[in-house]
Amino acid sequence: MDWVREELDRVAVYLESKTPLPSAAATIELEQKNRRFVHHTLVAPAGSAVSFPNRDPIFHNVFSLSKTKTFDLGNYRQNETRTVAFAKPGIVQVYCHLHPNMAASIVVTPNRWAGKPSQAGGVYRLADVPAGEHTVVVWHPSAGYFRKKIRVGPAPQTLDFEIPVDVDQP
Amino acid sequence: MRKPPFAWRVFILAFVPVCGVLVGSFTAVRMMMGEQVKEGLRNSLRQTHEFLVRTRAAQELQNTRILGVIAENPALKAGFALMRTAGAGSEAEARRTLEDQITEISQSLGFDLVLAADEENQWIAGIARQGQGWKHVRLESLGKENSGLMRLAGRTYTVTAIPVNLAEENLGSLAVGRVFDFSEFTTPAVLTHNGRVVESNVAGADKVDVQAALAGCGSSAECELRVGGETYLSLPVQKLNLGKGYAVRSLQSVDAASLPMERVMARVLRLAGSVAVLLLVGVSFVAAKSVVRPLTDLAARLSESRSVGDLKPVRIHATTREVEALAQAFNHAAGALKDAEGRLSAAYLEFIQSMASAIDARDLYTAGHSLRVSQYSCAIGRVVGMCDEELETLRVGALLHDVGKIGVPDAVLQKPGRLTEEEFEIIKQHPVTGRKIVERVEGFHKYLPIVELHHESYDGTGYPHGLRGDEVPREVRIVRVADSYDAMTSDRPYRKGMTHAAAMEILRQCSGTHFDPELVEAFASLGPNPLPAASLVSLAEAVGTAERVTLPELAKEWLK
Repeated sequence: MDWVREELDRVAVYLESKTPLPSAAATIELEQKNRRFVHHTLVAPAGSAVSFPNRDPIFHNVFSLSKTKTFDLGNYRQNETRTVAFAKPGIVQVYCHLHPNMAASIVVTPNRWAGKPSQAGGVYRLADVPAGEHTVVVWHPSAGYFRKKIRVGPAPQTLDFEIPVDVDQP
Repeated sequence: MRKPPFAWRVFILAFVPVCGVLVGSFTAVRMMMGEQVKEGLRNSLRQTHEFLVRTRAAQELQNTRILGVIAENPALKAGFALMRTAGAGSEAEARRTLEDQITEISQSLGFDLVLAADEENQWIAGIARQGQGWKHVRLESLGKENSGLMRLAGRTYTVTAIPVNLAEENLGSLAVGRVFDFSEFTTPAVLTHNGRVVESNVAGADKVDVQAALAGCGSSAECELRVGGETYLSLPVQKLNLGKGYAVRSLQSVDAASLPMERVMARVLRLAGSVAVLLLVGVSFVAAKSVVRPLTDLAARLSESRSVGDLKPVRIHATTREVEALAQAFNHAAGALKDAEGRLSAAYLEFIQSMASAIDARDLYTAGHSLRVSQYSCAIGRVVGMCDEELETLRVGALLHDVGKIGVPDAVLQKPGRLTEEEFEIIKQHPVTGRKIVERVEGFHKYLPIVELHHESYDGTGYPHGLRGDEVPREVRIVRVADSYDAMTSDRPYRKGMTHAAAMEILRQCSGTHFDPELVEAFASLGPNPLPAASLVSLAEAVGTAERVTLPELAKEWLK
C-alpha cells in the first residue's frame, strides 16, 4: 500500500475561519535529494520561510511561477540553500529548472492549524482549535479542495474525508 | 639411341596443341566464370553499400528528429546555461549536473553516447553507456569532430549533432551516438581510421590480420585480399559520410561465391575433360596411324623386297600426294634396278647356256643332253611340288651338271665303245672338276650340289663321296634320275637309245639302290612322254641311226 502513503504525503489539512486566527511563522526545510523534493507537499503557515537545501552533488534551480508566490532561486550547489518567505496563504507549485521531474507543492495556510495526515492511518489531529464555526479544508494536488464546516466545542470531533485519486495501482 | 617412330611425332603434334587448346579454353572459361562471380560479388557489395548508406541516412534522420525534441527541452537548456554561468570551482558540479540531465534524457532513447559542447564547440559534458549504467566520458580523449564516426575507449560510435539554442542565442550543441555495430552487418566489413583497422567482423581473423591483408589494397580501389585462409573481394563504401579519416570496406568471400562454380567446373572438367582427352588420344592415335600407315607400308614393302632380293613395284593406295610421290619415286628406282637386274640375268643366262652348249659341243652326239636333263628334272620337280625358286635352281643346275666334263680329254670323252679303268677314273673326276669351275662363279654356289653330287647313288655306292639317301639334296637326286634316263634313251653313234619302257624298267630295277624310289615313281607318273614333244631336242635323233647297245652293257656303263 505504498501508493497510499505516497498519496497521503501529497495531502494537506488546514483550517479556514471567518475570524482571523493566529499564524505561527517558522523556518521550514524542504530538502532536494536524489533529484527529488523530499516531500510532495509542504505545509507552511503564512509568514513562514521555506529553505530549499540542495543535498545532491549536482546543481538545482528551484523556482515557482505560482500566483501566490513567484520566485526563482537560481542555480546553487550541494549543501547550499536558498530561502523564500511566504506571506500570503495559497498553493505554491515549486519546480527545478534543471530537473523537470522535480515538483513539490507548498501549502501556505492562513493560520497555524495546519498539517499533513499521518502516514499510518491518514489521521491528523487539530488541537486547541478556538471554539466557533470553522471550515476544515483537505487539499490534494490532483483531487483539489474538500471542505467541511465544523462547530468547535469542548468535545473532540472527528471528520472523515474521502479523497478520490487516480492511481495506477500495481 | 633408337630414334622415336614417326607416329610418335605425329601423335604428339596432333595431341599436344589440341590438348593445349582444351586446357586453354577451360582456363578461359574458368577465368570468365571467375570474372562473372566477381561481377556478382561487386553488385552484391554495391547493394550492401546502398543499404548501408540508406540505413545510415535513416538513422541520421531519426537521430536528428529525436535530437530536435531533446534540444528544445528547457531543463537541458537550463543545464547548458548553468555550464556557462558556473564559476571556476563549481565547474565539475555543473558538468555533473548536465551529465545527470543527459543521462536522464538518454535513459529511454537507446543512445550509447551523449555529448554536449559549448557554443565554441568545446566538449563540456559527455556520458557513455557502460553495461546497464552510464559513465562519464573523459572529454580530453574526444576529437574535434561532432558527427560521423567517433572512437572512444575502444568503441566506435556513429554520432549526430544538433545545436542547442535559447531563443536566438546558441548555447552549444548536443551530440548523440550509437555504437557502430558490425554485428548487424550481414556481410563482413572492415572499418578503418586513417588506414588503421578499428573494427572488423571478418570471421576467423583479428584486426591485426585484417590490417596486414589490407596493406596491399589501395585507399579507394576494389581489392582482393586473403584473410583467415579465405579470399575476399573488397570495395570501399562510397557516399557514406563517416567523418574525417574513416572508411568502411565491405567484403565478400570469393571462395564461398565461387565454390559452387568451382564444383561445377571440376565436375565438367572431370567429365568433359577426360572424355575429350580420351577422344583426343584416340583421334590423335588414329590420325598418327593414318598419316604413318602409307609410310610404314612402303617401308615394309621395301624391307620385304630387300630380304627377297627382288624389287617389285610397290602398289600403295596413297591418300596423300607426298606418299604417292614417294611410292612413285621408289617404283621408278625399283624399275631401274629391275631393268639392270633383268639385263644382268639375261647375260647370266646367256653365260649358262653357252657353258652348257660348250659341254654338249664336246660330243656332237650328246648334244642337247644338258638341256633335256634340265627339262626332265624340272618335270620331276613339278611333280614333287617344288616351288618356282627351287625349280629355277634345278633348271640352271641341271643345265650345268656336266660342266666338269670340260676337263675330260676329248680322247676319253669322245671314245666310242668301252672305256678302260684309267679312262673311267678320268671320267669320274668330272663332278669335282665341275665344282672347281662353278665355285669360282659368283652367285653359282647354289648349283654346286648338282654339279658335284649328281653321280652319288641312293645307297651310297656313287662317286665322288659315296653319300647316301638324304645326304644328297633332293634336287641332286632328281638330276640323277633325269641324267640316267636321258643317257639311256639317247642314241649314241655306237648304239641306239632305249625305249621309254626299257629305260623305266631299269630305273625301277635300280630304285632304292641308285635312285630315290619316290623320284623314280614321280618320273614314272609323267607317262611315256615325260616332256611335251615340242620341247624334246634329241640331236641323235636328228643325226639318224645309232648302233644298238645291249641293255645290260649300257646300264653297266652308266651305273659305274
